[in-house]
Amino acid sequence: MISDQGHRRAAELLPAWQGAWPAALAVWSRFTRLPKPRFLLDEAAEQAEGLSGSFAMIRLNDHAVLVSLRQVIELGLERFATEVLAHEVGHHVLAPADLADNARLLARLRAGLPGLRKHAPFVGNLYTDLLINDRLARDAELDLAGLYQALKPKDNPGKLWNLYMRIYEQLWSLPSGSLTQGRLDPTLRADAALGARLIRVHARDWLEGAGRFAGLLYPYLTREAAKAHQGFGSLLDATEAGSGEQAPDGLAEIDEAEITGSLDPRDDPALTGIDRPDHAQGDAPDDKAHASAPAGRETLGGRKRRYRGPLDYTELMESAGVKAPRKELVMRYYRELARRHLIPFPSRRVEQASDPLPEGLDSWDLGEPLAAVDWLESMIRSPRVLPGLTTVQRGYGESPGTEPERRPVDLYLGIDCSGSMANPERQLSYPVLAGTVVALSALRAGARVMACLSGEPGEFDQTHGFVRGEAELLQLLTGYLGTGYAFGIGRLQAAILDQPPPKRAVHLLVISDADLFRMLDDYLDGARDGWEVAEQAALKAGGGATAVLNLPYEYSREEGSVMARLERIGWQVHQVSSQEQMVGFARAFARATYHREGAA
Amino acid sequence: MSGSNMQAPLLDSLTRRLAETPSVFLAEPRRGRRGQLEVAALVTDLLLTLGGDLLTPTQATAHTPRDKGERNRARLVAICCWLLHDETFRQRPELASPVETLLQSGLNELAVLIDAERFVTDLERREELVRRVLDWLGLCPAGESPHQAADRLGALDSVERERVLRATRARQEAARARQLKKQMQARQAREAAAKANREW
Repeated sequence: MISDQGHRRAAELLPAWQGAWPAALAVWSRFTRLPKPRFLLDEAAEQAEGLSGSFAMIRLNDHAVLVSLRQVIELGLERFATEVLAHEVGHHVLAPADLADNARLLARLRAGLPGLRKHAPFVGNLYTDLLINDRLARDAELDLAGLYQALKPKDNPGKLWNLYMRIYEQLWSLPSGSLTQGRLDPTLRADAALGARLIRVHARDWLEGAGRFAGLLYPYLTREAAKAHQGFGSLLDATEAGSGEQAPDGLAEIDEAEITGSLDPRDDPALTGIDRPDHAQGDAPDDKAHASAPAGRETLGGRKRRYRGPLDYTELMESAGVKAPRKELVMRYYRELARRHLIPFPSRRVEQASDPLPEGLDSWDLGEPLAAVDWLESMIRSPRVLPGLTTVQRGYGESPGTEPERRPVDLYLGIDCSGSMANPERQLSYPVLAGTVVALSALRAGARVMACLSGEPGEFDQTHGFVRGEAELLQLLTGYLGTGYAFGIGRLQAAILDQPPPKRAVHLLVISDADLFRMLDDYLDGARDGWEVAEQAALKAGGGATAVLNLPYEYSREEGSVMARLERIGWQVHQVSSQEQMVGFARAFARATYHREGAA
Repeated sequence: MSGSNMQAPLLDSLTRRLAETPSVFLAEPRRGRRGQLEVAALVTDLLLTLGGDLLTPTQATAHTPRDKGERNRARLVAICCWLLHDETFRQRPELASPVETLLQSGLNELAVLIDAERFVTDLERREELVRRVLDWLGLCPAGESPHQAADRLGALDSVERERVLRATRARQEAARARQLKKQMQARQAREAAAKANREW
């Protein structure tokens, strides 16, 4: 009965709120375009849309604005249609605006909230609300103060609430007690003054101010961690803004401002307004306190690319609301790190056209262009289409041209995944990153790749032969075994020697360390030892063989050394002195092997 | 002090006046052979306009910066002279005495903390200076009760904010030192226990 009445009242309010939408858009710009907001009239509709706790929310994935008119009535906010809707539009056009900026915002807040990182979405919501509301109150003269007065909790909700409301009082020159409750201590007043300046100073470059805002709230969150959200419930409209399956790009790298920006605002002269004009002459007191203030970039040793670890990356993505399995996020992390090392997409210059000659049917695998599928033949083969199993494509021959044919060599990629190697889900694994660079470059050039993780004696894991699927490769490469002591040279016997001769030449690439030599000595299979397997596999593969090994300096290439022996049996040995250098090698290798081939 | 017959000053017009401070008032105060602006002369002019007396030589000396450290205070005094030349204050003999003490010592704390030019360029600092001057003279901006005026000045007060921030910083450092001491004591206790075990 009550529910029916609530629904009816919400339905009565609906036209007025729908009518306020154009005005709310126009507050930001005449040209603002967003899908119409979804007004929810009862609890069932709210649950269906995932709106809980708050009376409004935004979703950056589908640019949605959701407003519960049922709660609007309960909270007595009927007359604030333009204010509420313009505020929600502000989240879409100003802050956080899109998934990438939302994730960057969270990264900076997390850096400023050691030990309290889980509160980053909450703090981000408060910060972006301040930015939006201040602009709406000043430029559009909307009654945001009235809205907050209507939302004022009856019970004293704690210091954090008072700090937040005192910032609004400062921004809008409101008398004490307009939005706050009870007596405010001098520290809170001083912090609120800093907060107000922070919002004004960083109104345009709001991402820059995020770390400082986190620093401002940090002591309050520490004290009120358990009940920090108390009183804010109905205000939190953007804590799950990034929720969805889309993951923003470019977050594997740590933005320098994440480090410099998490400065405590109490130590930032731009915010305290204290510049001590005669400080240089030593006339001002308290020299020591200022001497200890962080000096920014200089203290960091210049501009260097810095990357977050895979664990931090996946936690950040989860905090941003990305709903994807952790494994997929790890794959995404390595793909993103590898991307800048990949060969450019090859473009072939065709010197002489030749008529294609239709020949037989080949199977079509996942990862190959969809347009290549011969649907008629596939349906004839099986009316029930199973991609990769029943799908076929037409094979074409070519009449001989004048240009010499160049085909990229296929790649066999063996990576040492023994106990001495890092788990790529927890730490940045350079062998995995190097493998990703080479494998993805090979795929770009049109080659097929077989990848094998091996920690033997113990376990191994490999792709089902030579494949073209990027996801399958990354799935394998980002796996972890942590068994045995080296890459098992016996894998080459199974993958190369025991197979029919490859149609295309294969390059063998093994990424390992000094333990590979021990494995070459130890491996015995009937008449063949590890050295013989390596030699014959390189011979049969036909595309060359390379071992990139992380070796101490004492390993030399002198006559009689293991290095010289490996080179004598047809392997190029590339020595690196740290795992990081493997990435540089991978980049050079990919360019030498695949860029030249692909560019034709 | 505040003349009941006096019209309440308009805050906006005073802050606008500050924003429009002529560049001559922002010139370098004379110090020895350097600088162009005689701050003591500006103060004398102002006091005479308000109906006050000439500065004594001692008072005049106090408005001449002796070193770089006093430069900012002299600049702030010059800016205040421009502000107090406003029609609101002119020819009000009752203001001459508080103005004299304000310019003599009432701006010292502010001058140590904030570059004088900010009181011209920064919106918030302009309001702070106007409110501070009015408060010193016992005046309320038009449309505000004394309580409201005090509340707003409290919100803008840089000196008070700096004092609180310094106290907060000191508290945080003391807490950090206490924590460090506790950790060291715990480590020493562990080491002592380990040593005792070995000796047994």
